[in-house]
Amino acid sequence: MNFALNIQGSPHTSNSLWSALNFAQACLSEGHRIHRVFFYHDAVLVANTLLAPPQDEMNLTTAWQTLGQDYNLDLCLCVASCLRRGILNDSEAQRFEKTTSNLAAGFNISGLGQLIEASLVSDRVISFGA
Amino acid sequence: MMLHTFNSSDAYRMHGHRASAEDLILLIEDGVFITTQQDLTEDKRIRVLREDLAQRGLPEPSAITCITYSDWVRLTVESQHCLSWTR
Amino acid sequence: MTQLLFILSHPPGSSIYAQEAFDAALAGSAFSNIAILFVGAGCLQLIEPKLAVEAHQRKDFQRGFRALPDYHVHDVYGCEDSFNQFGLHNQVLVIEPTLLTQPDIAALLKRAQRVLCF
Repeated sequence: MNFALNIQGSPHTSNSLWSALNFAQACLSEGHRIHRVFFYHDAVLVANTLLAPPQDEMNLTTAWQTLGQDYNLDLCLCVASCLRRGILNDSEAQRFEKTTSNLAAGFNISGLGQLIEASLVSDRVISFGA
Repeated sequence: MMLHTFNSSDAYRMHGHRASAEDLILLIEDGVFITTQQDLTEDKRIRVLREDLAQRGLPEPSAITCITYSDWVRLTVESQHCLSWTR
Repeated sequence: MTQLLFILSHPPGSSIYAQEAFDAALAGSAFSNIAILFVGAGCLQLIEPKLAVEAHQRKDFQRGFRALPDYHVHDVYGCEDSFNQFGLHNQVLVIEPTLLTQPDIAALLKRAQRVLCF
């Protein structure tokens, strides 16, 4: 089957990124495909390259980057959620005259249309709420 | 058949009644704490995510089916929808 | 057939989640036939905001509910049990959704092609 994942919770106040990561790994191990992983609400915070968690704590950013790379996943962040929360790629940083961009590698910023498209074309859409 | 996930005790209290007789209920994340507050053994629709119990230091309740992430994936394949209740 | 059902469960106020969930529903309406179901504390979004716009921390996005027909969204539902639980019948609402019993909601879920939970 083809899955779309809709992740919503913050890295620090929710388990949803962790649950979704493990679900995604299980999904792929079972031979299913993941059409898109869509990060919405506070879940976009995982894609902040400036995060510097302690070495002995789970690094959700690198965990998602690794999974995304290993399986060529589309890790898609909602642009509106990103702008509100200060996750900017180079073009958005320039557009809003910010001193730096901070989008972590392996993630891309796009619109809600990507969530909708993924939901319509996938066999299952799973929401991981905040 | 629908699969309903509950990620907190509040979510289960607020929305647990939405699961029909033929649906399944999966307690995940902080939703596993409801096992310490209610006796769910009579409700055969209940599943609990094993890893989330372990992470919280909770014992696996006897007579309640504890499942893995792979089982969760299989349940979503078998369900029409997977509904996420969080509050 | 409802292609996409949006279940909205966040109250308005302290978090922006309710507003962002509505944005997602509007995005859905641009692509497909959608329905919206307000459940639990999400029903509180339907209460008409009373302060002037500039007095809010958050945009009073709820006024956008009145524009849903302009987006061809006509299937707007509320959970009757939640309406009773949160005293919505005593409030001035922005819009009046069609109230559904729990069996109605179960039937709505069966008719939906996909469900997005917020």
